[in-house]
Amino acid sequence: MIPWSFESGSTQLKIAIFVTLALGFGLFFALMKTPPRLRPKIAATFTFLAGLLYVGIWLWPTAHGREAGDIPANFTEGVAFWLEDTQSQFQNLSNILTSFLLLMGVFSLVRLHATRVSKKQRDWPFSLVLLICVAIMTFIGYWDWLTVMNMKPEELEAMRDVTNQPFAVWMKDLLFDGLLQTMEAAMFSIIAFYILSAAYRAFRVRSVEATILLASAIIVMLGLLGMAENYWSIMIDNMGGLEDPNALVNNLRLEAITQFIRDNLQTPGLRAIDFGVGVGALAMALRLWLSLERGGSTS
Amino acid sequence: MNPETYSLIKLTLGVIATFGLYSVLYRENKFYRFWEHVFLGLAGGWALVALWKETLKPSWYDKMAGSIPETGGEGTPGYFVWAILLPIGMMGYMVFNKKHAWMSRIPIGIILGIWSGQQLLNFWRTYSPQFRSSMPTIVPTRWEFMQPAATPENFTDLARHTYISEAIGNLVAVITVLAVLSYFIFSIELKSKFMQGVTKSGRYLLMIGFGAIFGSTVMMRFTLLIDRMYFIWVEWMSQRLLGN
Amino acid sequence: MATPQKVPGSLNIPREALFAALFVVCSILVFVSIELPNRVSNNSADLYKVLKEIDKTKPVILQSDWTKSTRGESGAQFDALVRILIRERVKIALMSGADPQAPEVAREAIRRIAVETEKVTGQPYKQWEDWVFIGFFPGIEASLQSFSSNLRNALSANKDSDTAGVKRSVMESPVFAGVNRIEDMGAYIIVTASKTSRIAIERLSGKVTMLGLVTGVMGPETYNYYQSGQLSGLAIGLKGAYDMESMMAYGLNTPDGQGVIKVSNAKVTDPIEGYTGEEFINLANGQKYIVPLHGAIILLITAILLGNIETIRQRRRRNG
Repeated sequence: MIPWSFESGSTQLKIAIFVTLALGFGLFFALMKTPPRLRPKIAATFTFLAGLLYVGIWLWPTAHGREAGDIPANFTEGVAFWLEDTQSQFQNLSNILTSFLLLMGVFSLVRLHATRVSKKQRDWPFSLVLLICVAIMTFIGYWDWLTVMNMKPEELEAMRDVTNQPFAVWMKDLLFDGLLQTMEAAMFSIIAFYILSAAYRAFRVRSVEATILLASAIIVMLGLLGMAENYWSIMIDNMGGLEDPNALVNNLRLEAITQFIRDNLQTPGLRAIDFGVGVGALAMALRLWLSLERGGSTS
Repeated sequence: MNPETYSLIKLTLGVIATFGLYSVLYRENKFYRFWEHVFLGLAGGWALVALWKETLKPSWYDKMAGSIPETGGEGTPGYFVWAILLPIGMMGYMVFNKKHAWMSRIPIGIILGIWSGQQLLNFWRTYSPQFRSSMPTIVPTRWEFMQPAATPENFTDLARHTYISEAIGNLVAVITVLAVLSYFIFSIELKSKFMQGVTKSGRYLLMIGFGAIFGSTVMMRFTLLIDRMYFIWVEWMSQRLLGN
Repeated sequence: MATPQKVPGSLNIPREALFAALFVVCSILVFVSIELPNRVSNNSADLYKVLKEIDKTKPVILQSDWTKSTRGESGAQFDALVRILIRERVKIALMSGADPQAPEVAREAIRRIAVETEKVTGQPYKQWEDWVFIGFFPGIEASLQSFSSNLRNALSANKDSDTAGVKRSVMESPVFAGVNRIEDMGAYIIVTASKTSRIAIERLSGKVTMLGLVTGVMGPETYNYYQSGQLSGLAIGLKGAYDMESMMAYGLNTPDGQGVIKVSNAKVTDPIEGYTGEEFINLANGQKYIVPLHGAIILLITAILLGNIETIRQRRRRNG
């Protein structure tokens, strides 16, 4: 029987990793030579097998009340245990592959801007700035990580006094917190200006729909303002709302109106959309799992 | 470095970068483009660091290579099979190669397959409470119009009963769900005047929801801007520069 | 973008003027630090009630999916939430699943609030013993599915540094003492600026008490899950943050020294204590930003009204 693991750092493990990588890249190059008619089938097989585990979990009886170290009582329970345990491997598989694919985004960015610099295309100095920033952030990020990882507990404790922080930690903080995070916040906040300008120009009473939209938006926005709610409430109190807590006029409090809109109009409306999305997602999931979805630049 | 000086440098750089990005509000300019590229570069660099140290190292490399016992800690063996994910992950990068772009469908297909299988598994758990919540009682169980104000004493009793005003509210909610659903489902030409009315009212009811969403979105967008103004004027200028 | 043609005699405010007005209003009002009256939303009151009544012997999973891009809302919510959890001595298993920047931001915030609380209570809140980072999961769908099925299996291979600096399985941390399955957790709390709350609800609702703290944009669609009972409490945007801060400062339905109830709610009627009488920080960014928010929204409503007055004037002019 094949042993699935070896002691860390052992020669056997190194050989096993090398052989696995060799087989993997062998498969990689073999796939490059695959005839076109087989390609969709290969991709479909991988997709189908990946989803099969969860369909199995859905259809197979679940082992309830399982404790650590339990031994399955029969075949059905054995399969249920296996399905449950395999999920954590699929969790890892998904995290790892997603990470590789996310790194592809960075690769694509670097590739694009490196081409611009090498060909001295329009605005290439900006691309150079981008490449330099990628390099600096990567270098400082790893330096900081290795520095902190190799610290002793007492050194980590001493770092609570910022004057004891090593240079790498200062620099990472400057680049990550001082620049990257600040700029991200600035980028996202710019939209506020455009919302104001667009609302002034486009939020006009031009049709029944637009009027309803406008009225609902203004009521909800007023409901966000504690001051408005408060003055509105004083008005209702003066109309007899305070004397009798069960008076009908209490329904006209701003918070009651916004709550009514939210509970009986906004949420049911969005929920109806969500039902459509849910059924659509289910149909799409089936089509993807069974590779019935065709098209795309890579097909 | 003196922490005070460092903090001033850090905040000042952040303020310059913020104004650099805000300068696009006037018009596209080189100062903005510079900071835009700095931002993209730093974000890309950080992704390279974070994906390795937060995910690939612990979830992939450490599992594959195992760990040698440290003082007080237990070592783990290396599961070499995880190495296979490197070539599979690399297949994703074939998307940049026209001839072999189809290979990128393998890792993406695995992710999509996992997602698809989970959709089947989770559909009912997600939507069953939603269906139930969309069907509130529309028949009053107490024939008084208004629900009395809640107190700790009458709270359980109030929760058990439906008052006339509540039933009307529930009826509005049910009508909204049905009207909006029919607006989306019957996106074909309808002959029945009744159904035309229902889908039209669905559109109007949807507008109320969209109006509320706009209100909520505005809150978020303005808050993000206010946060930046707080950063510039209070954290940087008032607290750090003027020492208040 | 084409600039609208200026009609003679019409009020056509240039967009630069609108930008400047918003900039000036927000800039001035950030210096105004007053406590505005606040009526706590039902969803925020439920959130506070659940947090205060949580079983302190059970840890919570805190999924943090925000970065400083939404510091104004998510940051204020996260700070208020972590302050409550640390003061209640609830153990936290921290994780992220959306943005590679999110883990760093969340860890920094917890460390900062732990130090801040220690200054008042004298009790440290230590990583590994009281809170542990369980990982960043870019494939969040499969990870949460695995949590739902068998939490111990899902997390046993993930490591964090113990108090001696040795990397150990997070399941060996005192945080996870007695925990095997997701049902053994006190709650699953998600602070997010994206759709990850939905992914978590799809996989975990019904198995564990779930709480959400979301941005204003995500608020309306997440409210569905609160109304259906899949979320037991929900804070939406800056209003949610200010609601939490108000309840922390004055309690909920709790009379002060003069017998006045400052913060009340019609749905949650039990009196729930705040953190009064000690030097705790309760009112923070939620309170600081609510005044400028008033100014900005009033400006927006004014702009919309001016725009509509202009439309009506033009219509009248056209009709003679």
